[in-house]
Amino acid sequence: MTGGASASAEHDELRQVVRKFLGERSPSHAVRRLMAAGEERDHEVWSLLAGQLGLTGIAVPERFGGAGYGPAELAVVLEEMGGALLVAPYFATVALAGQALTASADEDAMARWLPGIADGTLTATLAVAEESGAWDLAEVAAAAEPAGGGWAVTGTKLFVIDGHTAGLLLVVARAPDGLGVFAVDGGAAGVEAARLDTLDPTRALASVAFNGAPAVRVGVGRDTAAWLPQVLDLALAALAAEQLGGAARCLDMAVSYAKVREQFGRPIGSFQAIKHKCANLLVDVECGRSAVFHASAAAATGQPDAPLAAVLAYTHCSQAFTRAAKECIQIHGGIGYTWEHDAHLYLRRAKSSQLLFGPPARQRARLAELAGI
Amino acid sequence: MRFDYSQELEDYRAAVRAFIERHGPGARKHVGVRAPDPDQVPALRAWVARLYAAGYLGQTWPAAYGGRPGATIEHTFIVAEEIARARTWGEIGAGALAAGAVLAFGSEAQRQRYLPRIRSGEDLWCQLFSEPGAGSDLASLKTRAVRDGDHFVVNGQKVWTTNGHHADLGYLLARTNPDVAKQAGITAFALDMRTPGVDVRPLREITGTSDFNEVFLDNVRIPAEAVIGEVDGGWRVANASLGHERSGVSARAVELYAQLDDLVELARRTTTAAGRPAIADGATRQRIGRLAALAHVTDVMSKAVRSRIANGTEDAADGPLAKVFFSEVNLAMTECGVALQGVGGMAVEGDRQAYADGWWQDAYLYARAYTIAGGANEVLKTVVAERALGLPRDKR
Repeated sequence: MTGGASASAEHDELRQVVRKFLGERSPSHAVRRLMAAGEERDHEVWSLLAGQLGLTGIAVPERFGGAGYGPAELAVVLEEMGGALLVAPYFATVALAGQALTASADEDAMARWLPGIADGTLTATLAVAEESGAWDLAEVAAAAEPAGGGWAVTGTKLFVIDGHTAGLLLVVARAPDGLGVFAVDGGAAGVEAARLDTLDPTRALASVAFNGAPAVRVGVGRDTAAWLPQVLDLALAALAAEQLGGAARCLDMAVSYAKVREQFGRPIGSFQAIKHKCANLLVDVECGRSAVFHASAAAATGQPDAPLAAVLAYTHCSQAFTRAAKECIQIHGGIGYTWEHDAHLYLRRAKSSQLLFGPPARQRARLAELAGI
Repeated sequence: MRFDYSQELEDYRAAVRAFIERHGPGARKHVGVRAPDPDQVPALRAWVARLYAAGYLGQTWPAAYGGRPGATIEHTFIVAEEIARARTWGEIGAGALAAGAVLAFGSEAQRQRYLPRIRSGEDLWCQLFSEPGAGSDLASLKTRAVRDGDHFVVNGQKVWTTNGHHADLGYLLARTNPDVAKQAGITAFALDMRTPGVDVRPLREITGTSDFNEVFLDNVRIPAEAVIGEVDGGWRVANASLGHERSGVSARAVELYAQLDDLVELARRTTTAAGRPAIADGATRQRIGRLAALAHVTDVMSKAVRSRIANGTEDAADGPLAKVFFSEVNLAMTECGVALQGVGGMAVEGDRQAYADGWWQDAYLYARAYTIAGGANEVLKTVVAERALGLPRDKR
């Protein structure tokens, strides 16, 4: 998957397959059922998307049971999942943990966990943020100590995506020799996880306390600073793709409604105020599409500007999605303000996604830094 | 134009503030126009009665109906401002709105019947204006009222009825004549909410709370003596009532100032990447500074509008303009409040991680009500452009 035109044709095909699947398997009522029950996924849907569609293995190398594609194909999948607000531990398992294991280049770790991720039997996540909530490696205080040939992790991680259900937790912690990534079994002794009440009920976040939890170090013999930051940038690019999907869906909803809702004897979409709102959203979405394409392509081919492209895409898509969700509600008027209507679910997802990796101001500051400003 | 108050009004403000501190039902958990929990309602009925008895509500009514001689609209503004400042409950429901209509357009019998029970807190009212198909375009409402002897039979559906589930009476608009211009065939009624055929169903909103209701009217029989004003004259009645909603203008500025104080406090407590308080961060200071300026402008603008209302020189565009401005400033402020919390901004009411028990998250979600309810901002901007700037009228 390297050539422009053929990649694009394959991406289109992938997109259609995923869209059709989610349209059938993750319609609004299914999302709401899972959300209300506080469940992390529909197991049947998960096994289909892993087994039949092979989506959990899309970015896993072939020798570990995956399809061997990368960030660009993952972006297509995440865009569709974002549009459908799929309730599943996909982002955490595939975009965070899966990409982290691959980036670690740790043969043992990859051989041990990637096949499970690829075939959907293992769910996983990456735990970075602590008290400040920021995904900032400098702020990591969790500690890892050598213990009986392995490691023991102690500390509290916050806002861990699917942290209370993940089978495998990749925990960023401080070892005596510096920062490291430590694999902890979700069910291990010394792990206490609890789901948090957050704005977005379609994405589970948890606090996870580690009290001397047994762990295996990932990326042994490699300087963590050489690959972990790259993982965080992959996460930003992945989230940007998901946000783009959400923004595009908000635009669709708003436009469809503006065509049929009549006030003052005509469709509200015939009013210039509404037309311009919709046109502005389209500009946002199209710019976002380019930014996401650039970020995932740069990550896939290891371009030096990949970090910049990732932060740029995330910053833009955060804003685009939040604005699209907001305007979607405004264009729907009162009905968009109700719980019954899906518009608020997108606003909740948009706002949460914008905050997920730390305050937007920090992202913008980093963007300026990467741009050499 | 005069922004400061006379000593008499300042003394009055102090008295109102002391009264609320002493007798008030305490701070509310959420911002905005929200419905109380059912178990709060008895105490709030008593609070409403107390406000009327003390002359803090209904004071501009004619003395014969309990008004306070010498009271002006300025006094009404001060009460609304002090209630906003204390973040406590004011009148529950649409009693003042209904009273205004009954006083201006109702019969003597209606005044004797309804007003004392509004004052005593025995009757809570709701407003039955908006419909699923008639929001910003209220005049296109479709609920039908058909004359049947000495009754009207009403069928239709209302929506966004705040406190509908608590209300004893509803101030209803229904179409009595479908064959004339849309504004000309509407009639106002006082509807006993316990009449057979009235079905109130709570709506759950974006905030997760239930403040609004849908009200279904199925062959509801309303006695003809419950018509407020003239049959087919309801548009005039409703417009006068909606004009009365302007007393909220100055209270909103007070709300913004209180929120601004909270924002500064929040910025003191949260830290930036460098580990410093956010308030020390240049970009944060600028953002909050800009919001402070906007809050101040809202305040000055609402005082100007208030002054014009007191002098009878208000402009038809005043209300819409103030509402558009306020709602946008409020939205920006709540966005800032959530953003400052960073990842923690995702935690909501009930979560241990939530700052101020999720107050900002609720306010952020609720902020959308202000940009939609009472006329979507897009529609109000058209009104402003036409009335204040004299631009050619859009077809409506």
